[in-house]
Amino acid sequence: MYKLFLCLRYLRRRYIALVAITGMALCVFMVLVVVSVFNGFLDAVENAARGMMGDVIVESPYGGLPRYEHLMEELRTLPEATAETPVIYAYGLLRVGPTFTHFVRVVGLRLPEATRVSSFGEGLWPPELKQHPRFEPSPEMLAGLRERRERQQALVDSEIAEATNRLAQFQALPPSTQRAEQIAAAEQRLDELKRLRKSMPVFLDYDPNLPRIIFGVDIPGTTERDSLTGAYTRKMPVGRQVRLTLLPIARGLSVLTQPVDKNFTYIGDDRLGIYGIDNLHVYIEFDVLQKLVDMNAKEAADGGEGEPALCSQVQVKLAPAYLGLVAAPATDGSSAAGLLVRQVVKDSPADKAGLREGDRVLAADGHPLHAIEDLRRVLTGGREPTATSSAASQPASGQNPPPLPAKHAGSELRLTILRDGAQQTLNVRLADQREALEAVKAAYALFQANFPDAPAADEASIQTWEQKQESFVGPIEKQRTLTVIMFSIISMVAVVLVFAIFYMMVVQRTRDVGVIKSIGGTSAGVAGIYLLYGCAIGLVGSAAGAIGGCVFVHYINQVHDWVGRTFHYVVFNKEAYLFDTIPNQVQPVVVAWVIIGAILAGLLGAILPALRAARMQPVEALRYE
Amino acid sequence: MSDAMISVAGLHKSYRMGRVDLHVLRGVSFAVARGEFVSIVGASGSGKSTLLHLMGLLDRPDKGTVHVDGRDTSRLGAGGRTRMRRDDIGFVFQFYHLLPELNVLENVQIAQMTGPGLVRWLGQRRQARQRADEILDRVGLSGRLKHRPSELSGGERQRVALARALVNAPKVLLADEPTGNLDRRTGGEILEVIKSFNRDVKQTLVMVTHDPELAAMANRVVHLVDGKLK
Repeated sequence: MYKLFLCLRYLRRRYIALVAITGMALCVFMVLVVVSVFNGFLDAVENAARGMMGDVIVESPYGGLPRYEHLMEELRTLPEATAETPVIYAYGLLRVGPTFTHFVRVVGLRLPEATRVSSFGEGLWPPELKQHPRFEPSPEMLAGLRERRERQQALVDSEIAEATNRLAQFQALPPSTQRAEQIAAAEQRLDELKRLRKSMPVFLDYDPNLPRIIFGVDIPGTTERDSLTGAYTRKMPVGRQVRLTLLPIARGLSVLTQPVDKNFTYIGDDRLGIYGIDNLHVYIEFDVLQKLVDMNAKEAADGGEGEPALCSQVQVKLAPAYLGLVAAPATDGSSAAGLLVRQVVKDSPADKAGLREGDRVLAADGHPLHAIEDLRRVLTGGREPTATSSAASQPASGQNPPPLPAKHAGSELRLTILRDGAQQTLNVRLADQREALEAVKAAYALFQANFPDAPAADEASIQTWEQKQESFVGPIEKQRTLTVIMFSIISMVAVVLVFAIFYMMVVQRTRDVGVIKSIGGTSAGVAGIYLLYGCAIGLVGSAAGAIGGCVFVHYINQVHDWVGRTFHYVVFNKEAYLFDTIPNQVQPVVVAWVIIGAILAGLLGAILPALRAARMQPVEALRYE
Repeated sequence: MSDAMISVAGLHKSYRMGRVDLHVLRGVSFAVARGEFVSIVGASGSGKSTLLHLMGLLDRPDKGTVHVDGRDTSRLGAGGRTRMRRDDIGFVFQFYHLLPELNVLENVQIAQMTGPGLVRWLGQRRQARQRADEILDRVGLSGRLKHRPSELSGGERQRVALARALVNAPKVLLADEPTGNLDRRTGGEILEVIKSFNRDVKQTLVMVTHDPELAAMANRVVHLVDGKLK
């Protein structure tokens, strides 16, 4: 009993306890804030990297991937593949106006197809472009831009009118020093407005004959970013003509052609959220770039085979859950149509569940299958598959059926199959998306068998986004490890701090140990007091630190803005970093670990002094000066 | 011997002081009867405090035995000695040795808390409080329960220490120069209080002092010279 009692009294009445608690709280606070912010950054970078290229990327080791249209057709026989798109990468020089030249990586995209595969399009500007992500401007977009331009202009015009008016008023006054000053001020204001009216980024009407270009938002010279708010100011009007110079070297080194020049119309920008990409990439229409870099199909002069069109890579978007079969709609016209299993991917969930080549899948989870699209819908969720192939049998009900839930790794899928004329049911436990790489490889092999001019299956590079981005994600993971090491060091500091304070306390109060022992306190009891004390300091300190840390992280952006406004000191320069805001999420797991760590640190710091106190003979302790 | 509350036989104790072994006690034997008040007198350095510490089980003798209420303490382990310190022996120090973080009442009650666990303590809390109030009343401190030691005079502090030593109703009270740090008048008062316990509740009492006049107030005076009784 006395242990607890003394412990509480010591906590309340010893100032040194306050020091220990404050130290502990500060350590916890610091660790929590840094870990949360850093983890937030790393997660954001990883997420951005994930969205960049879809889930699986197919490339040729020889620079160009031929027959990609057929490959995509083959990929569509995978129920897991929800979208696929070809992409071309090239390098070039971007010229805006007479003075500005910038080295860029040119991406050839199909819009809006690409937005279904990667996260491209989520950061498009202007809003009209984001709504209709196409290189070909929609009438709505043009109308919206025009309206915006008119609104902006009208606003400035009205201000100009007002300023002119005021100037006239001042000029009508009798001469005085005050009048001269007023006139000067009004003239200056009018000048400013006129300059603004001239330089105002306005939408220019498109030249309909030019292809269009979308910039990465951080291409230098086109936008300005407020270091405090992270908001962009566009300095270039939509509709502006820019010039791109490309070097077509895609077909190996056999042909070295002259650089090609082409004018484009700037229609907006895209923000992926990674500065190193947004300041380097520009996006143009896939077909345009293909032709510019000489990757388009060529007919042989003598009417022979010619050369197929090439792309740099095919990006594939996958469903979250993986089944593992290559299917085709059964086309024998029998009433129980279903899907014909062309191939079962080895070791896939479908394989483990016992599916075999030649099986006919009639239904999934009770939904009849007519096309691969039907199975895909069961797999990815969404609306009830409306009969695509048997519209006649569908009752004309006016209401929409409820959407299906999306499947995830670990979900069950019930397949009704027809094998050797008998119907049976198989339950498949779906696997993680990452394993679906094997299915893509299988589909590629089927494709390559038909098109031998494509790279062989074992030569083609088929990678998940993680593998593809390893050079990008890898260092981030390393940084994570580095943080862990850093925090171990910080934790050591906390332990040493607690230890020092405790040792001091015990030495200072050695006589108390003697007194407690002389009135019948046991050695274990005396040690217990200090251990309990250590725990309590850890608990109180870490609780205070954790609350403070959580609150601080939650309001970190506000705090940062306030510091910036008040002291004109910007720590987190949004021009240089990837993100608009400092991550402000605190993971509960991190909080729990930090608190546990703090309490352990308190205990650890208390152990040695506690043992020392326990070992002392009462009389030794009493005599201690 | 059977009537002795506390007795020592053939006690030897030496300390290492730098390079020399200091032989403090050289075979001390004597007994204190139940209800007796004995004072031990000797010059400083004669070993009287060491003797008292050994009797109070605050230290172990090199040789010899200490019997408390007929039990041989040299046969007890650390746990048994701790229990005996708690239940059978009260100790008053020259320098009071109060815990500065606790107030008067808490300093007394901490001695009551050393025994029971949390649950039992909650059960007997009221009783314990009554006993503490009673003893503090006896030493004349009932008006100062919430004061911290730093707010008390030396005499008052020693009263608190006395109450703490007596709150568990020990079989024997050992007082090590209880008035050594006080002026004559206050010391006299304290001694009066101590003596009153011997008189009223037959508290067995052993007091160490270097002042022959104070020693004379005891039933019996034992002289310690150079580590031996005389």
